[in-house]
Amino acid sequence: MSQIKIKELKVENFKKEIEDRKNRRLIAISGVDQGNNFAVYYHFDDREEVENLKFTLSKDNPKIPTIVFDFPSSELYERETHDFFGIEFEGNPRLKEKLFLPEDFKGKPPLLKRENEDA
Amino acid sequence: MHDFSLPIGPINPSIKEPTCIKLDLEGNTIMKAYLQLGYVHKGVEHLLEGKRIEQALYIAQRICGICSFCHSNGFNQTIEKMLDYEPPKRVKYIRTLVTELERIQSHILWMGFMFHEFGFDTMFQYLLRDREHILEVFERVTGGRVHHAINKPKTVRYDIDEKDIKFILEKLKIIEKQFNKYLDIIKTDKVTKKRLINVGIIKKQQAKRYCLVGPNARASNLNNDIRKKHPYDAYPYLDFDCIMDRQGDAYARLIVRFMEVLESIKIIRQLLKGLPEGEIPKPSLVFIKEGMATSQVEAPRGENFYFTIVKDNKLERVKIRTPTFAVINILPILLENMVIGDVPVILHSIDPCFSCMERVIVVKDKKREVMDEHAFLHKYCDHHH
Repeated sequence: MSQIKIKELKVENFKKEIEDRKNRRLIAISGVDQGNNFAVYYHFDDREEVENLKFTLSKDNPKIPTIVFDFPSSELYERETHDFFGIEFEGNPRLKEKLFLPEDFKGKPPLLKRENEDA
Repeated sequence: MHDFSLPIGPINPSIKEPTCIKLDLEGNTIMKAYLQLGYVHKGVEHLLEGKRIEQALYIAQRICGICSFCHSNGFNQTIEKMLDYEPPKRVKYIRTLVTELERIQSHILWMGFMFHEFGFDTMFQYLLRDREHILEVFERVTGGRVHHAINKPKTVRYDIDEKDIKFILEKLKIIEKQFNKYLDIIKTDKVTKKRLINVGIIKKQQAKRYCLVGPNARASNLNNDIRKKHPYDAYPYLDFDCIMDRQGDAYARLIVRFMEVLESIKIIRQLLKGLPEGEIPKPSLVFIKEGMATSQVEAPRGENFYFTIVKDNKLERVKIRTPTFAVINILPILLENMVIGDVPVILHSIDPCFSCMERVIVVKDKKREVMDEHAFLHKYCDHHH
């Protein structure tokens, strides 16, 4: 039904996949809480449609390398995703500075699903 | 090395929306600039989660007060893609009409404030007076001057008739006449040129590296116009140019936006001339079991990106990447080695819209550390009550 083009990829191949797309335009990075794990989508501009790369990360230790040095605009996208999901982008120099949340914010990242907690 | 640090904002008369720029200064020269964001959080992405599609549309179109329609259009497109539905041509034309009117309105507002930044207040007043004509058109066509709640999944709320078309054309004529007059002023006025030329230069290579979008990219001769690259709505049927400039400075960004207003007028005339006959479908409820879609629309400030996941007719996740979020990261680099006096001009020249960009914050959290309204009143206003 959905016409979206998603490439599910392994984190091990992350560096190579990004290297291949170095000359393309990065549109956004979205984090999604899938319940048991996280998905991180990298949206790249393509000739026809948006190309979406999907990387699945475990909830215990969500880590993915940064792409800040290839795409400077990703600094903010990574910091936003880190703020709201707690995903670590290894190597991003300003990752620990809060982007949209208050400086003294403590507690769980706000965009995690919290059905069990509310019940 | 720097002599001292100067914070500008979050509340400062030269910045129209709250943001904070911290500057490391040596004398009058900026050595390094840091951006601090997060002063206008509204929690929209969190708010959208778990909402039904009809409810979500109301929230989406209230994200921004300047490009309200582009948000609802972007969201709507993801829904229509999931439904595999293509709206009738007349609906597409009306959507494009509102998009272009919004572009004119937004660019005029931006230009007004741009002139205001360096003290050309006469021009500011003239431009805002002209913007009123577009707002009147909005009021007539969509019913709302600021939030044009005209979009619905699969359709639009209102049709336009012959009288509306005549009204729009009359208003466009007034604006076009005025703008041709202003073009002389912009091209000859010494102060305008002195303040804007060679200020905040973005080179094409830099624009590409920073993945810039919209008029900011086009002013650096990089075409990322979604209307041409991924034509949507009625854009495939239209004949128009993307306005480009090579200089990449604040003046180029002014010229690009100025000419885009004239180009949008041209587009609207084509739309109204070729408006297809036919009925507009009645609004109906939509049901989506499961789906995922992305959409790109060209808002006045550039590409607006939506990524929507729906499960059981409720929104699972909506990711919104507004044009400002893609552009703002270049600002600290533009400010380096400039003087303080140029800060408002450079900041304003990239046309930031912070209300659009900053949307997500915790709305409800039992263990929160953030000060809420009650705590604030208790701490600061208690003795008054």
